[in-house]
Parts: sequence; C-alpha cells; structure tokens
Amino acid sequence: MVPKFSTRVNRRSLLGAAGGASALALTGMLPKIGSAQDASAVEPYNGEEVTITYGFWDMAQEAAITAQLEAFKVHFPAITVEPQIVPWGDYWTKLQTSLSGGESFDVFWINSASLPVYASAGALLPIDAVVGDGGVDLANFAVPLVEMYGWEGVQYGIPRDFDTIALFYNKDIFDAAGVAYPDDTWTWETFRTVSEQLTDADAGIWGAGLQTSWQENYYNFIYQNGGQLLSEDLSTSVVDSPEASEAFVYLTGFFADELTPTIAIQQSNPVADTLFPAGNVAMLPGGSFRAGTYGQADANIDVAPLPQGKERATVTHGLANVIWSGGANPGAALELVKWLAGEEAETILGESGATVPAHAGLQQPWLDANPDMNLQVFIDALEYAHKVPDPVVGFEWQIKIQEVVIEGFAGNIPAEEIGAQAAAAANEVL
Amino acid sequence: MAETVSAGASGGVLGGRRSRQEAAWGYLLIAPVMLGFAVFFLIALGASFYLSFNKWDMLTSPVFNGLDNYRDVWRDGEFREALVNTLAITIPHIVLRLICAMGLAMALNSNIRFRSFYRMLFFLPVLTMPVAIGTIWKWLYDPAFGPINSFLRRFGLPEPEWLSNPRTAIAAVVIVLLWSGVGYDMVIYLAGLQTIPREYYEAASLDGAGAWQRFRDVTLPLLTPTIFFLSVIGIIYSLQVFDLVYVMTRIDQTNQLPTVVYYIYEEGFRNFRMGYAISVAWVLLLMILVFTFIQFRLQRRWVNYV
Repeated sequence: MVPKFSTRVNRRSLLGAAGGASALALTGMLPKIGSAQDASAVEPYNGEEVTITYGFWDMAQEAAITAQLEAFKVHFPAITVEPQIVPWGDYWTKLQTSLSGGESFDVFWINSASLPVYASAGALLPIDAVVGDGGVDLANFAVPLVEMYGWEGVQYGIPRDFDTIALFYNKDIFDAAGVAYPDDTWTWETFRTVSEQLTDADAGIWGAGLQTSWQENYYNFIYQNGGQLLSEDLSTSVVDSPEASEAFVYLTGFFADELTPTIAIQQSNPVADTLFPAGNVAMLPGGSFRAGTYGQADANIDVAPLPQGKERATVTHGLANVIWSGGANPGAALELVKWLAGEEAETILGESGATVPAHAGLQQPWLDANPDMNLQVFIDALEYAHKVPDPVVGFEWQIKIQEVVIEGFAGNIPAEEIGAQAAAAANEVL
Repeated sequence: MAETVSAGASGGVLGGRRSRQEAAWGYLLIAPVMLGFAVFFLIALGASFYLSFNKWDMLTSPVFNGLDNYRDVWRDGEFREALVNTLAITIPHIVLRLICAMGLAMALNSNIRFRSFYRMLFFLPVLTMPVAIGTIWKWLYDPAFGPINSFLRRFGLPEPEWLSNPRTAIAAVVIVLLWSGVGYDMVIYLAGLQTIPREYYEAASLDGAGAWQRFRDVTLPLLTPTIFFLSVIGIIYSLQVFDLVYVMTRIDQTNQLPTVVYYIYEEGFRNFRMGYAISVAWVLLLMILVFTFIQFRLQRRWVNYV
C-alpha cells in the first residue's frame, strides 16, 4: 500500500531531518527559562498599557483576588492583570510545562517547599529592589514567613498569607454527648479519651478526623512531642527519633481503633472536605485556611488550640507572590507584587475571610469575617509555630515520609516501624 | 497514484516529466499532513529520544549524561515495583477480557430480544472518559458508604478495603478496566462471528457435532485472528494504564498502586526528573515492542487465517 515515491524520501533521511529539527527545537526553546537578571536591572514600569497574568490555585480565594485586582487597577489603570486559576491538582504540572515552554504566568503563587527548586533554577526574578527602600518593609511580616521565600541571601517573594493548625470541632456532637468543648488545657490524653467518648459507629460518627495531609496531621504532633523533621543541616531526616516515633504510634492508634475514618474511607471521602462539614466527625485538626468554608458549613463549628503534647506546637506555612524571570513585563509585575504586599491589598484579602493576611496588624478583618468562631487561636498559634524545613533538593523527602506513614495508618506496617522506615525512605532522596 | 509513478519511472522522457509533476503535486497535497506529523510526532519523538540521555528538570538546560538514565532504570526498585503492578493488572485484565467479551458477543449474536439495546449498553462505557469512570467507581468501592461493600455486608461477606490495600486495589482496577473495555472487544468479536459462514455450522451439525463441539471446532478456530488482534491491542493499551490509577488509588500525593506510566508522570512532573522519566518511557516502549513481537511470532502456531 505504500506509494512508491516514498522511497525517494527514505526512512533514514526522514529520521535525520526529524532529528535535526528536534535539535533545533530544543536549542531554540530551552534556554529561555533561566534568564538570570535581578530586579535592579529591570526597567521600571513606565506607565504604558500592558497585560500581565497572575496564576494561583485556590478557588475559594477567587472573589478576594478579583477584588484585589480591581483595586490595583485604580492605582495602575494601564496595567491589566488577568487572573488565571489552575486547580491545585494541575497547578505544578502547568507551571513546569509553561516555564519550560517559555510562556508562563508573570506573577504567581508559590509555596515554601517549591521555592528553592524554582529559585535555584533561575526561574524566579529576585525582588530585592522593591524591598526596603524600594517600598516593602519586610519587618511587617513574621520572620519564618520571610525566610521561606529567601534563598541564598536573595529575596524572591513576599508572603501574602499564613496558616497555622488548630482543632476544629462540631459543637452539636459535643452537646448531644454532654461533653465539654475542647480548650487550651487539653493534652494528648484528653484528645484520645474524648475521641473514644464521641465515636459512635452506629450513628456514623467518628470522634477524631485525622487527615492524610502531613501539614494538618503528623507534623504538628512530632513537634509537640519534641521531635524534628530534619537534622540542623537539613541533610538527614530525623523522624526515626523516639519522639517522632512516639507521635506516629499515638496517631496510628486512632486509625487502628477506628476513632478516625480509615485510610480506605478517606480515599474517596477527604475528611476535611466532606465528613467533617457534613457532621460525621467531631474534631478535626485543620488549617486556618479552612475557617472561611467552615463558617458557611451546615455543621455548627468552632475552633480551639491543638491539644498539647510535651510542648505546645503547630506548623506554619504561608504562600508568596513571585515573579517569573522570563516575563515580558517585569516592571509591571514588580508593581503588582509590591502592591499586593501592601496594606490595602492585604486588608481586602482579610475581609474575604478566605485566608489570614500575612501583613502584621491586618488580621482583624479576617477575624471579623467569621465572628462565630474563635479564630484568634490561629493567630496566637504563631507564637509556638514551627516552619517546615525546605532543603534545596526539593520536597520529595516529604512525599517519601508520607508514603510510609499512609501505609502505617492503613495498618500495612507496624506503628513502631513507621518512624524508622520513613526516615530511611526520606534519606534516600536527601 | 503509485501506479502512475512506477509507470513513469520506467517510462520515457515525456512520461518522466509527467510523473515528476504528479509526484510534486502529491508531495504538495500531503504536505499539510506531513508537516503536522513532523512537528507533533517526529520532532517530538526525536527530542524525546535525545532528552532521554540527559539530566533535565524542565527548568534549567538539559545536561547530557550518556547512558546514566538507562543504567538507573535498570537498577531502580521503584520502577520494578511499578512494572510488577502494571503486569499484575495487565495479565488478568487481558485474559478475563478476552473470555468475557467472547461470551457476551456469542450471547448477543443469538436471536434474543432487545439485542441492539444490550449491545449498546455494553458498549457505552467504552465511550466514557476514564477519569469519569474512575471517579464513579471510587465511590462504588467506598468501604463505608459505597454500595458494593454495603451489599457484601448485607450477606455477611468479608468487606475488602478495596483501594487502600495494594492487593485488592489490583482486583478493583482490573474490574473497572474490564467493565469499561469489554464492550469494545465484544463489538470486534461480533464482527468476527458474523464473518463465519452459516454453512460451516450446518455441516458440523449434520456430522453430529453438539453445541460445545461446534464452538470448539468451528467458532474458536475461526475467531483466532480476532483474539490475536484483541490481545495485541489490549496489551499495548493495558501496559500504559494511567488515568484509572491516578484517579482511583492516589491519596494525598501517594499511590498504593503506581503503574509504569504513573511512575513516569511522578518522576517527570513531581520530582523534577524529566530526562529520567523520558528514558523510562522509552524502556516501556521497548517492552511493548518486545511483547508485540513475541505475540506476532507465536501467532503462527495458533492463529488460523482462512
């Protein structure tokens, strides 16, 4: 069936041509990504009409960001900012492919774990020029948040919000059982005892909702028990310490005794998104970013500090706005990032109730947006909050730990071995 | 067109010019397709082959590292685990699918009522997006609220934790693959069944062959080309299973049942090792080629072409 003239363009020359074209395509498109320049070398925004894009993932913040961008437009009428929401599940894939394809967001959200990866690759524009004399006073932001977005002494991002973890609880379940609400006197024992009291398999109620998320689950308990995630020099994982192992054993007990929905159930029912707001779970260690949603949930929800172990502890994290180093309008992008770090933008963010603004002194609007809950506990938690370490090699080590922990929670490996196996798995990639 | 060209090649001067002209037209007319093919397939293929010999994170320029990637694939325990999972899914999937689809096709080739309706019913899942299928089945498998386990509970049967245990997860995924793919095979079988002349069955009946003998000695041998085609296509498809495990067995960044293509995704897009991921993809391609080659070799022993 092959037409004869195809023999003239024989296979070898076709492949050769394809190979040559491939090489051309590669050399043509690749080096665009890491155009190392810094903000001082960037031509300042000169007032011309430009359009830039702003990438982020959280649908719950769409309204807040739209409001922010409208306010920005008042100050910079010539800069049009196109918001681009990419859901979390696709965000990083989209970011990677768009960066390597040479057409990415001008300004975008990043998390602390990803910062060293993208900064070291030269994909981010240093923003030292807008810091300090440039207009943004970093003293307005908590130190751990600022540190998350610096790398090798250069600042790449300004924190926009922060989160801490506390204990959400369903008041109706407590009232029905005649049990006192959680408060700051609670310890690990209280949490366990009350979880047992409130669990009612026949009624479909679990006392505790321990999520599969590391940030809202075991990281907090490891720090509370005096443990650490990584060694001081970030070169090895120390979750095999007795302190961390004890935390894993304590938490696995909730799964083994079905005081919390099992891993199998959580596979199709994420506790924080379905079972807790639906009233099937009495208590849920969860992040402040959930407060906005829970304020509107059917369940009657309030919040208390996390129960304490040997010490009081939570982990904290915050997102930052960063700039793509390969963008066509770095000047306008810098203006946006600078403005987003200011009081006006942060106040709009707080008023939306979706997340806690990072700027010092601007948390009141967030508290006011959800007056029925004692959200102050999240802000107070900053005092005893730990920052999750971020080694340059990226965050794969956290996933390695997670894989082992999930197996442990599912009962596939003994609770006592979780720490040792997790540390070994993490050390392979560190 | 091929005829004109070959005639021209051996023809005289006039014919030569004409054929050259026609050939030029030919090239011109297929140029749009070839251009698309070159840009989206050949160049991409070449680039991918080259990149498989590089260390590349997609953020900085690729660094050539020779055969290092392939050497690492050879030693990679996680790749081996993914490969074992993939084969553990593929083998039962293909065997069961070939058998179930043949049974269905034979049932729906007889004169039952609502034949077309049933055929459509079994074919519908083939037209459904794998992600949608995975999402629905994930709910069906839910150990607390899903209908499958509440059914088992009613009869006091053991309730597996389907997706969170690697062993039962294989069964769960195979069941879904079967459900969603059996309709396709059924249609191909139906076509195969309808090419078997009725006279063969009549002759067999006259010779005293019962239903089983007619199946064994007439239907089955004449369906071997169909079975061969379906097993080749099925294995190629099944070795690349991704969407279902991505949707069904993943929980918070971890996956109980990583397959080879899932592993490629993870290495490339999550762990920033795109060069390595690409080399895994080439190894998978090679394996598919080997599988298919073996199948073509073995067909001579069992496939009957009339």
